[in-house]
Amino acid sequence: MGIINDLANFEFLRYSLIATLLVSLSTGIVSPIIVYRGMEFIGDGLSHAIFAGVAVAVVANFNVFLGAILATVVFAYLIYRLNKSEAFHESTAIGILLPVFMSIGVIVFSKSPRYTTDVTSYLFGNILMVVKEDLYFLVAVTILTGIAVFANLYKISYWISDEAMAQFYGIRTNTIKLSILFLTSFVVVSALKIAGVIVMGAFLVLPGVFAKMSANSLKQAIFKAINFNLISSLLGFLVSYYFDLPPGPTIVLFGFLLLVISISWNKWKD
Amino acid sequence: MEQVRNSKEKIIAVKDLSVTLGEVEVLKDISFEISKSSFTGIIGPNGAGKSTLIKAILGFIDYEGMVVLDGTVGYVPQLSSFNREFPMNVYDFVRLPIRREKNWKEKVDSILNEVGLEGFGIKLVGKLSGGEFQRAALARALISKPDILILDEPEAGVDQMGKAKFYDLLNSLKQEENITILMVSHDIGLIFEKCDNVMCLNKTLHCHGPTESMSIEDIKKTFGEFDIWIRSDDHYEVEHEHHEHQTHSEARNDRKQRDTNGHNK
Repeated sequence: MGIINDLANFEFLRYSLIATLLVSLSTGIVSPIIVYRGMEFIGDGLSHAIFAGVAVAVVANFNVFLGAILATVVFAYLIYRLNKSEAFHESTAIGILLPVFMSIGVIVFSKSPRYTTDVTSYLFGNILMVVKEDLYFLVAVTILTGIAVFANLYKISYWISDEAMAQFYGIRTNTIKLSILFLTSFVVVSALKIAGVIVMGAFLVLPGVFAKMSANSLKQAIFKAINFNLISSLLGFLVSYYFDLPPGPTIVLFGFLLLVISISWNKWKD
Repeated sequence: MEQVRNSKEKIIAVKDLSVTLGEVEVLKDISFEISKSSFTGIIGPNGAGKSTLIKAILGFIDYEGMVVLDGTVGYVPQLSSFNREFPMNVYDFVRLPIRREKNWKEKVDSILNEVGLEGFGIKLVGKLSGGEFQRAALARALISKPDILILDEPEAGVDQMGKAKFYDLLNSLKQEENITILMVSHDIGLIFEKCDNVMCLNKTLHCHGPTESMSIEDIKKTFGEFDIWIRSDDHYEVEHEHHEHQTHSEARNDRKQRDTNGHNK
């Protein structure tokens, strides 16, 4: 088994496999929340916001990772503010901000001599460049997301299903909204090397859509989404390894295939 | 038409309440008081500000004026407020006001029995019929034993039989639990049949008083264009049928007239 030997021999391959599994967990936790809440474009929005943050960090010569975090947190907060004033639904706010952040990124990057390499790496992800520090961050984000979501599952469920009533009976829906947006920002930043800007949205949407088809509770939906992610990620990882394909997009295509099979199976059953 | 009210203890007091949404004044100078253990129905045309009044009383929206609620409140919103695609079971739906209590399950079972939803706990809310959903929403509002129950068009999406049963349930709860009920409705027929007091709202308060001191005709006189806005579904159907019947009769008469004229020629 070539891959077993390679995993034993090559640290970067082990790191990329562990990173893929951790991203499956973290995106699996937030994906059903995003889909049920109708914020499917948040992944795209946040990953494009990262593009702006990275661009500014590269040109201004400070930590790229910090730039990415700052950009997504600012993006998430702006969505929260636009939505809080009740002038815009979350998806409208994302639609407004996404091209703005992307444009900032492109303009700033155009002034950087590292334009081409940096852009390619952030657009498509670079799973083989995962380093130990990335794994630490992924572990931290996955644990934080898991604890925050499972400790507040009931409140999050009510925030999604009936925000006004949740608020009426004392649930702090604004805090939940902001926390979910920030958690999703961290998840997106941590998953960027695996997914890249272009396919990040799929990592956050496909598992949630799959789970929504048959879940009886948010908790069940999260576990279904995690299982979906683990299967499509492992298959995508193996196929990309053996056929020398980019892992992020390959994983997404396997996810889509799995979703199509599930939808067809459900229709056939009915 | 501000009417004389009884001298019972007041539990809701609203004074000079006005609501402006954007640049539109939706409610203007609303003042009324509601006695303890009464059942009051608010009627008015679409866009009259009924739901806005409820939202202002509950503090969901900003308003000018004063609202005093002398007791705890349970609220039954419109059917559309819940995202029925979300997988939540009836237990979780109903326990919201008492979610921190350890024995919530017993309490939910007990209140579900009371509203006629025994054994519905593990059903998904999205799979309930309109009538069942309203009962579940009522159970949620009642589970914390509120002093005041506020309902916003709870009968929407419920058939006529279901509506009557729902109102009877409210009445029995009122008698057993001594609860004060304030309800918005489109169904003037049932409001007059089941409520103690009626409030007529159209941007401002046009009348407020005991049901027996008012009649549908009074409201008709006050508002004029009665059949445009105040009617139950039944009234609408009757009027509609009547109108169609008239139209058909007129058409038949016209045809007869034409035929007669033709023959005469």
